[in-house]
Amino acid sequence: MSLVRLEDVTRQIVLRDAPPLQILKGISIEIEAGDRVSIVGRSGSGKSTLLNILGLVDSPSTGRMSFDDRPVQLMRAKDRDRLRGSSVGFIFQQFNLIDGLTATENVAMPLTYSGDSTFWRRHDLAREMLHRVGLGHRLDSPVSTLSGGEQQRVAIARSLVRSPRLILADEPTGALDIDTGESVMRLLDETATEIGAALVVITHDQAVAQRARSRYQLDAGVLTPATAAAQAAS
Amino acid sequence: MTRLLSVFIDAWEQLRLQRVRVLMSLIGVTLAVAALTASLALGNIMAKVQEDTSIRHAGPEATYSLTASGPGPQPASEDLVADLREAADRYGITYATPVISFDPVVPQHPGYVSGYAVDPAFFPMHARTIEDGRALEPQDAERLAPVGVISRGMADALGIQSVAEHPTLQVGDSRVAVVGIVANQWQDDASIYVLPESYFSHFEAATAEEGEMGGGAYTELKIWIPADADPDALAKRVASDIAAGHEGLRVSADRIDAGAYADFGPDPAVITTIVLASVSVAILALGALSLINIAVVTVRYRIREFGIRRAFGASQRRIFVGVMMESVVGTFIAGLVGVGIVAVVYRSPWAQSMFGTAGIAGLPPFPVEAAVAGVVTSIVTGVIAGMIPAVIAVRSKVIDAIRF
Repeated sequence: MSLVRLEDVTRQIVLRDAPPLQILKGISIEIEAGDRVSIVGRSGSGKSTLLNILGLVDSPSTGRMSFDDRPVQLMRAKDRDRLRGSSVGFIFQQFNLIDGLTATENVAMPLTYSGDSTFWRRHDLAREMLHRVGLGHRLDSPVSTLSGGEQQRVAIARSLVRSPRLILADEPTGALDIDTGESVMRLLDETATEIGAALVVITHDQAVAQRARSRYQLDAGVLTPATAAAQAAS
Repeated sequence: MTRLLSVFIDAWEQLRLQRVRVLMSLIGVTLAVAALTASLALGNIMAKVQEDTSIRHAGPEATYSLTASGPGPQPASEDLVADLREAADRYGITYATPVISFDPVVPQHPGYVSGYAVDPAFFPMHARTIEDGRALEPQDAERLAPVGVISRGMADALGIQSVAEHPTLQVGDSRVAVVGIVANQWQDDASIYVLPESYFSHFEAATAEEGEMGGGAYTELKIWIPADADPDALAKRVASDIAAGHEGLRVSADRIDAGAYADFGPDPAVITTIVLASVSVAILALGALSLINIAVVTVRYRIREFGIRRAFGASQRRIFVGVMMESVVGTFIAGLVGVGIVAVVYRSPWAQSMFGTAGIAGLPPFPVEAAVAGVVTSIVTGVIAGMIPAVIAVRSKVIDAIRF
């Protein structure tokens, strides 16, 4: 059983004074529980759009998509929101933490929308998660006072706090130096393994891409396996 | 339940996070709610005071004043009192009293004292509260020495703390035993109430002598028509029966309670309340506009935050309700503070003295209706003011908001 499956998915945007913009063309990909996937592509190749579709933030224009073998197109918006909240964790290049909140409050935020008993234990769970990513000493620090590496660790803790089955990381090391980026990726790998989540990383960095078992290249909206892409290039 | 509570907790945390902005934007709402509550409370108090005053001076609903007149000599007060009591017995009227106003001479009291000869029914008919001791009783007529009830203002002026000390009072040539202290009708009210029998045997002669020099007594008969009777018809029958015993005498029955003026247009207290409340609502509208203004600007700065929240599972509806609840929780607190300010001011010695100066003795409790109206208005303001920023927040596109 696949976790996420895209079949011949396209995404186009209708522009007012220009022909429709085709961002993704015939994308097919299958991600299973515990998979490690990397997607490499130039700026403007459609990486973020693909990530948004995988994360149920955006919808395909055509094609089929399923999550847990359930067709996503048939879901109501509310159910998609719930599924996203419970099953998907996002990590962004610019961290996207909420200014003014502490590290604990940022990590606890996704649990605010859980609607179950974890809501009442959100601060404890958040602190526990921050300990796991090595930030036990910065629990009550406002996120604006943390370094880039620490902020990305907070973002990782936030993406994991609801134990998602799919972690989507968009350039997770893009704003970090090489050493910090390396340690962040190691942490991401370890924690994803611990909770048995699939990890999809979008990156420019080949070193980061090489850590994944399944590697893809996205070029002008077309997704190909990395080896096939290399052969085509040679 | 958890979802509902989480919305409130989320809203509260947001307010805490943006406390300076919230505080600044809610000052106007607080003041407006305070003004609105105060005006409604004032209107309510005015109506209550008017009603109380009406009861104190006239009696409760369907109270009639019977006035004797005619070409011949006026009958003696004693005869009128006897006729009234007889008629009341005949028609089953429980509450009937003569009110003979006279000017007693009380050497111990430094100022003017009002005297009233009344039946025991006078006190319940005029909502007079006995603060100490008891009211007059029919058996008091059989006592040799007159007994009286005095007002609190008079007791204070004479240094009488309690009737338990069995105080007595020199009134004219007689010594009156004080058996009760009644609440003031106005500040420094100096009044003494005795039974008509005491008046006739001890004070009428002196009053008559004084009357020759311009003073004298005035007799009014009051009846409280039972609720199940036709008030006008019964009052006229009583008047006619009293007149029948005296040749050439006419006795008119006039309704004197607030119900008699029901057809003369709206109550002035209601008009005052409407005017004050309208001004307050205008202030509240301005407060709400400034709240919307600040909220809209703030929401535009928070678009990225909403995108992040959406990415982590917040539905559109949750964002909408969340932003609106921030406004509602804020204005609710502002409303509570506004109502609290008015309640504290209302109970302050300053306000008590202001109302006392205006002749209102014993302020009624702070009107709950005004407090509830203030809080409800603040919540409604919050809902209206929160609607626009909530719509803006929901319309933001998650994809654009979290663009990396």
